[in-house]
Amino acid sequence: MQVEVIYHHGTLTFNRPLRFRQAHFTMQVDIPEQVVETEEVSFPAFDLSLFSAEVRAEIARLEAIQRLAISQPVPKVEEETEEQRLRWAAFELRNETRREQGRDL
Amino acid sequence: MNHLLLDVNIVVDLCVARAGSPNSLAAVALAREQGFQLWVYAGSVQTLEYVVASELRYARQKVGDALSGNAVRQLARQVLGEITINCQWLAALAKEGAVFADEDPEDAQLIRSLERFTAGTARLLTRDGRMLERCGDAAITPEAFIEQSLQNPSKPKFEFIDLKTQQNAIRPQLEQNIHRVLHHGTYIMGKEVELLEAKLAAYTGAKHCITVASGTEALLISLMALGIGAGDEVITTPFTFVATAEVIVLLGAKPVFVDIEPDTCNIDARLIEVKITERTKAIMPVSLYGQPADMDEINAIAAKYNLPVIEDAAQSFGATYKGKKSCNLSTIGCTSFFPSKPLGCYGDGGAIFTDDDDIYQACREIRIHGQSRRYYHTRVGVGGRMDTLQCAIVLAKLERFDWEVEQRLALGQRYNELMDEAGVQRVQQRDDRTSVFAQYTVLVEKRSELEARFREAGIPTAVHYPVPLNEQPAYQHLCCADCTPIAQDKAQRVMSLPMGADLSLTQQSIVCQALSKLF
Repeated sequence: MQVEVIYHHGTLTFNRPLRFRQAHFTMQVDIPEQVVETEEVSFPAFDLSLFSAEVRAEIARLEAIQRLAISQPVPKVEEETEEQRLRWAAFELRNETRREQGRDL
Repeated sequence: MNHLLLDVNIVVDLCVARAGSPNSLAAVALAREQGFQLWVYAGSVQTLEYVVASELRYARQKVGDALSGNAVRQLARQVLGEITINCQWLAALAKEGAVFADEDPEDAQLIRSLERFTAGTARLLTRDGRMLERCGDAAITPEAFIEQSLQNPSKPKFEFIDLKTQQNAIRPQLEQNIHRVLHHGTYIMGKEVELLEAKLAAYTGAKHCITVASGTEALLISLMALGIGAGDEVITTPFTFVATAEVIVLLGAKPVFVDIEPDTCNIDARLIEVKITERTKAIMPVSLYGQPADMDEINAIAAKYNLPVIEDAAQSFGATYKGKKSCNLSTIGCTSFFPSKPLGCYGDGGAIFTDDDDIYQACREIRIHGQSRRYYHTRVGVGGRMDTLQCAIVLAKLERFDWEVEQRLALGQRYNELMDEAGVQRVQQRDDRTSVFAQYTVLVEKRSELEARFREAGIPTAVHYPVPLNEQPAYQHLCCADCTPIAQDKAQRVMSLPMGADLSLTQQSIVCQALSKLF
């Protein structure tokens, strides 16, 4: 079925009351193209050979942490509490405000 | 040292691979290489946790991995812990709390936090256009920082004694101790004073410790406690800091200078006995450069003539003599907590150690204007207390002190080996004692030339001491310069090199290479 929802700071709110038989399921969402951030900011790239071996090694160490953050398995954790959800929403508001101002997070 | 405060967007760049990350990584790595201190604002922790989590969730979604809010926050905390391991946490101060009138309190906190640094020494690394506008020259982008560093690389400054690395290592405890004193408000004779005295006494093995306002005050109060005054003589070395003789003269007594050993530069115990007269009231050896003198021999002479011995251990707290700690080797031990000392505070401070109950009582009273109870003055005293804040600082430093002493011993040993290989003459250490190397001192010819060459190479040196006390205008009438020829000779040749628990092996090698090139 198709229903209208409102997206607000990371949360989808249905326009009419619905009860679900399952607590977890996937669904398709139509998002207007114009609200999606697509513009990737680009920055000048520096030639790594300009840096000393120590600097390159430090960059490699930091990159390894970044790679691990994307690939490492994350253990199961407890569901979020209402308080934690509210906190997320608060920080989403901060992030959204900054994006609207054209600022980096 | 230059400071670089990392804005939230830079820390996020470091944690999560995104468009700005490569330059932020390079800027931070370059800053570390060039000796910048990296800071992350402690007040930003929660913002960092959620923003990094948000960006990580997005990054993992892109690789088909949808994480729950709690899972991604846990991951964010782990990554933040790893990324900030080489950063210092910049404490949020009260002044940075009242920012609600600002257009952006989060920005205002960071901007205000920069005000605690000396002007021109700290910058905010940010990619945020608004922060760049608000901060002006005090903010810089990673790209500009890289350009600047490549065009005009700054070298890490070589410190003669590196107190900043030490401060970074103990900063959390240091800040907590200082804040505790600010909160309880007992600035004089607060609970930290008694706690430090108990810890220092236990460390040295002495029965009593009395903290005092400085190392000089420790010597003065000790002499006063022994009743030394006009017409008395105190045997000491001329090759020392002036305070050793100054306090004797201040009390109307006379310092009697005995020459030093050519290898250790400490007082030559074999020359003491002939200087003893009926006016001699004490012997005051100095544990120069951090190494105790021949205390057994000195104590034996003192016992023969029933004289007290005051060890001037201003430079040797932590050293040992035949297994016993310096400051607990004689009737009285006096040390200094001057900032550059092996155990230093952030101002002036010192301590007296003794096993003698009467001397302890006398020193305690003299320290507080000679009072035995409030406003009841049984003897003449001085205002000689060490303040609570300084005691709180030494308490924080004491937690790392055992490690620092081990480092000093290892670095001193390595310096010795490198100097011997290079054929450079140095002050010797005896096998039955340790030196904490308050100074690492070599013996050179044409010292001024060498000092200038070191200065050009950016390596600091110092001379301890260029003029023996019996050649100083204020003291020369007490003893002829030629009476102590070894001290006279060493004063022309000693040169101290950078030393401290945080001296790196690389820095030490640079010093040795520079020295061997000049020989």
